Amino acid sequence: MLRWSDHLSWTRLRAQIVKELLSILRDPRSRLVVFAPPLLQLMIFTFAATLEVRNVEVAVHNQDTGRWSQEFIERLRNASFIASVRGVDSSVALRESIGRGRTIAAIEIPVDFSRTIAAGRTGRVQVLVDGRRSNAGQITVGYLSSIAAGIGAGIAPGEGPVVPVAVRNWFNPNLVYRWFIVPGLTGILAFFSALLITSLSIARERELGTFDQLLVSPTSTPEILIAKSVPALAIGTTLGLLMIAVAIWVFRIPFTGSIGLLVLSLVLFILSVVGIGLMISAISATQQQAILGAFTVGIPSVLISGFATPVENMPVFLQWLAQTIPFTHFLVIVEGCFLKAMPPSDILARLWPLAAIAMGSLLTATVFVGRRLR
Amino acid sequence: MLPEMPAAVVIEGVDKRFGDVHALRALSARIHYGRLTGLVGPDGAGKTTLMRILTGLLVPDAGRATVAGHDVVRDNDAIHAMTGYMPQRFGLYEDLSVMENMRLYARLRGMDTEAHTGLFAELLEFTRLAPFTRRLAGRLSGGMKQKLGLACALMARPAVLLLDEPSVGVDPVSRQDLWRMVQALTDDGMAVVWSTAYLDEAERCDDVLLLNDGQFAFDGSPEALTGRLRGRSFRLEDVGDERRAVLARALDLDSVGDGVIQGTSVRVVLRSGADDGQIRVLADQVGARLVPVPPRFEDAFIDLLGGGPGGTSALAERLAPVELGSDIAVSCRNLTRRFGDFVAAEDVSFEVHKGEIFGLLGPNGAGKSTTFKMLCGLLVPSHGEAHVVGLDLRRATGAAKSRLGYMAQKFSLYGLLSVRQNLEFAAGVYGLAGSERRARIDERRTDLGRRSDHAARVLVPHQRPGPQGRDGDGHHALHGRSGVLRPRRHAVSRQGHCPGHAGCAQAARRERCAPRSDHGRRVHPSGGVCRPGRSWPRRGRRMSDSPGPNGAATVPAGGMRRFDARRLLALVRKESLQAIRDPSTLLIAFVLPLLLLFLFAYAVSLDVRRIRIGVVLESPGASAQALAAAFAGSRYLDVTFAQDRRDVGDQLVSGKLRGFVVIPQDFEQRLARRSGLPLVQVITDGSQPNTANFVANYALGVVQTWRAGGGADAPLPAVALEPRYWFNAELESRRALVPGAIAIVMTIIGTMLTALVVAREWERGTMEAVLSTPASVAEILVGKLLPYFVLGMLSTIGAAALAVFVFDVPLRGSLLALLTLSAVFMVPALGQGLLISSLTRSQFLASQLALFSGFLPAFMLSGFLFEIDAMPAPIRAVTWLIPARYFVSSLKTVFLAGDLWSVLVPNLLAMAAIGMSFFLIAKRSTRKNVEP
Repeated sequence: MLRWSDHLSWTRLRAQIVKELLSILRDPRSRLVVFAPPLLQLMIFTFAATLEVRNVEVAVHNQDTGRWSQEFIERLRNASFIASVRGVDSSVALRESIGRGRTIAAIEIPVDFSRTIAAGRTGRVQVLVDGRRSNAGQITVGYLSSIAAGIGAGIAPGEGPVVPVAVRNWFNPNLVYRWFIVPGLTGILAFFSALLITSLSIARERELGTFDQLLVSPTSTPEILIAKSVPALAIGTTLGLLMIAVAIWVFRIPFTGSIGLLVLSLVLFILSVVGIGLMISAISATQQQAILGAFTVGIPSVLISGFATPVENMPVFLQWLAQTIPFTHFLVIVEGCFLKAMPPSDILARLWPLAAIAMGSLLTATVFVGRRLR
Repeated sequence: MLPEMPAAVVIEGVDKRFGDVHALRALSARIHYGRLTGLVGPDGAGKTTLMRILTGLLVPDAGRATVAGHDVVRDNDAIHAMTGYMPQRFGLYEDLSVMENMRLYARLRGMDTEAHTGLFAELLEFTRLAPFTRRLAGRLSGGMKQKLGLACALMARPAVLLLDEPSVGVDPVSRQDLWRMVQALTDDGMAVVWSTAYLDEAERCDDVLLLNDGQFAFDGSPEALTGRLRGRSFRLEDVGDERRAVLARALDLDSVGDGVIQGTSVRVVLRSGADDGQIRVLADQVGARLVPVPPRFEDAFIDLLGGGPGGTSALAERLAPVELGSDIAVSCRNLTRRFGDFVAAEDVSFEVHKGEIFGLLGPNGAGKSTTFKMLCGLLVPSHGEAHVVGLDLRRATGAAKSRLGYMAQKFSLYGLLSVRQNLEFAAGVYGLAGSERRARIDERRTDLGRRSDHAARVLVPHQRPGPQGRDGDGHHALHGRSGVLRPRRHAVSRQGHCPGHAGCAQAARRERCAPRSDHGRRVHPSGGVCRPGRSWPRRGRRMSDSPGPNGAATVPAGGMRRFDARRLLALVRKESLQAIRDPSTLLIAFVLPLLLLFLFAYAVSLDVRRIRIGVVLESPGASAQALAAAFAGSRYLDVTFAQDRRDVGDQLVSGKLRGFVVIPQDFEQRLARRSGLPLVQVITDGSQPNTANFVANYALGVVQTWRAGGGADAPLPAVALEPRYWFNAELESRRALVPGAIAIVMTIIGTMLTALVVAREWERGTMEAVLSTPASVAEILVGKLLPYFVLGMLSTIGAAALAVFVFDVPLRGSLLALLTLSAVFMVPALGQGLLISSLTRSQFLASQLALFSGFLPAFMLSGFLFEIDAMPAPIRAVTWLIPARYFVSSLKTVFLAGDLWSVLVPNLLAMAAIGMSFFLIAKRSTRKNVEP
């Protein structure tokens, strides 16, 4: 009959946890590398990661000398998303400016533009858009359309609703992209940190030969895994909390939900990431394999988590896969807690999958480590 | 030898510090050609530091040293061409085979491997590695690895051969071979420096340099050293059963400096200047005969270093006696282990009783480690069973394991932790707590930081004694404690001459302190006794080019050249083999691109389709019904109908819907009256701004289309835009994203992989071996980069083919332009990897740095997903420094637009410029030494 204390002893566990923490945090350079870059990245990427369109250059080839083309160009100059309007004097130059990649849209105003409008008909303007920047191009066309519609409203007032729909954006009335990106980034950066730390942990000991020593010592497999989980869990959670604090107090992103539930979710999220990291580590023979394995798992995880595009737009097979990715669930929770004042019932609906993933991955890792005896 | 013949090695006032540690204190000495010089000293004396200075891997703080007439600092390249160096730590590539390692080192020395098959055969025959040429070095036994390292060091046919503790882990047969060969080499005029902590080895050298605590304690012949002890060595014979008690009493005498048990006798050495009065009294008291004996080298050594330990072992005194249930501590029955066809250990049976030290002896590859691992539960026996304290350790609980101490063959302490932290870890893992732990830690010594990876392996955790600790070691272990000792230095049988020998683990019982006792018993699996035999050819061998008698030996042609194509080729071949053998390389180069392209094609499309929205139909009117039907009919929307705003509101919070449309109660009136009030209200989930925009736009589109088509007299717009999307008429975001994915993969291969593989060489210790060859820094680095350059290009071609043929992305530009771009992008990518590896020698730090300086910026700041134009000015400035920015823009152009050189040329120039500056900085910070 095995006693519980044979599997878990606090003394042995503490020694291993101290060792794990020291091996990551003892070296000041390593401390710096663990904490500084994610925070720096949060600062930079918050401003960098945006799908908004700003500061673009638009080229215009205006063949019309009338009033409406002047009006149109003037409105372009005043548009906040346009940094500069470049006048060119030929269609060839217009095409070239698109090709060079500096100009996102090139507008060709025909000779009879003002005359057509004055006659009460629709003045047509050709817009060449750089399809290499498909998303920004589409949004630019949207913005240009509303400028064009504005001109129309100026010509024919009182002709019914200018815009037949009234749009209200809940949770983020001005659609500030930062409000979306920052909560997600806290998850991504904590995710990669925890994944790399854990995926290297066993592989490093194996490569450097200390793992045999550990297996021969009285410690048990669950102890080894717990000891390896704790530092990554602590570091990942600390990082996550730091970044959440930065989001609230530096970026002033409204926090409307329950902080307690968010912290609980963060811990469960990091725990499930740790389990995946340990699985990778347990099957890797070298550190290189572990790191590259972590990337092969990490990058696709972020891509299909719903951070880039909504999960429901993916093929069904990928939607199922997305449910097995911890970040998918955490993303919903963190966005919900920040912006949506998400009620506990909705959060719990996302917490149990996280708990299941954590259990599953940690158990699998235990089996992998235990099966190391070949 | 002519007296005016210049010295092979001249050391003048060499001084070296590492922080607070004064490793070498103003050393001066001369080492001569044609002589075997032993660099002897206890662990931590500074032997390896001196060796590294002589090979130019460390720079002395003061003083100078010349090897073969060349200054080790100024003529660094010449040193590497003139010397053969075998580092203490196994420095060969574990993922290359024996032959591949040998070829690599031959080529690094500028040798034509075809022309030297004779030398290869000779070296293989000598090292007895001939049957294993195809085996990976990592799968060799400990001793075989050492012999392979030696063979590679000898490849140089050097004028000066520096061997840093070459005999560690080498079996006695091979050790004899090694001696004989080194003798042959010195007869040819080579200078050989052999560093060792073992005294029987030191005694066989022509000259001895005794290094202790960074200073030479003696410089001269071994005979001169033992001469100092004439008249001070005695043996107390016929001591009887109380040997240990007598020894302890003798060692407690003031006049006795050292003592050791020899069979039934006790051997003592008096301190310098002491007379034999006290020891005579002791001899009378215990009834023993006192016989003067000739001094031994060992005695002189310990005398010089200040005497051995006292009579009572502090460690043994404090360790409580072990209590075992049975008299048998360890038992093995018919242990057998096969690896495929290869039988590593066959039918091994033995028992170890309480209080015994048991020697498990055997030549390299005999199966000692295999037996040990089975004993410790690290390997599952194919047959038979092993019990320690009556337990099968494979199934044993933690409590049982805590009664076992194990010291692995490979250096297995945590290099990143301090000595004390290692001890604390071990204490904790073995379940010691509180004051007991503190007390035990204070007793233990570890040798961490001194890197002496040798000495007897005792089953007491963390003890690796050097010469001074050696005698005391016996006392520690024999205090009613059982253990298994694997002495390395006593021949029992010889490998290769016993039929079917490879799988024969020799077990012999002997007592540590009685080398000649007849307790030794050899157990052969077949019941017979292995008959030693030998076959090392005695004929004189010319292993080296004799150095010229005029001092500075001539440097072989090619050795001095800074850049040598053959050496480079050898390095490239090595790196390629390593890359190909590691499945993770292929994973990252071919599987990840496939995965990424697939995801960008199907998952990460920015064109949002089938958005889930709710429609709240509050108006019962026909027009309202028709509009609702129009929403339901849209192929972009996935509509859920609801009666109440609150239902859909909750679903917006939970994320089930991305927005909803309210068709108000007074919809019909609004439509008729043209009051200027909007017809419908659209609520979006603003927490995802991009999707929110799409919801609003699609809703607007549906309403407008419905009004235009439904005959409702919509006003004509005054201005209509006719957008045409160039290069991507269908506006498929995957066409824009897939080229960017290639840039991501190339960044991982170029930056991440190279940073890792360079850091790995440092971490595994292979860099030291390569640095001591004539290969220049440039060659080593280019040799590392070239294979990854090729890998990156292959991966690009593969990904491009996938993109074009599977994911329907057009390649409007030329293949040549695509390849040129990729090739030029590899310059900054590889340069960044090199730069990272010059900053850190740990794979963990390298991966973190590569992640945060290479991969994430390529993902976020390259314009691949996020528009650079939309970023604030300071961040836009940062993007100018990200090479991926230029690559992404160029790739999109080549794929979607064509060879627009006005776009490509500036990008190419920018990438090349950034790459060159990375290389320049990396080169400045990479040195050809191992300074910490």
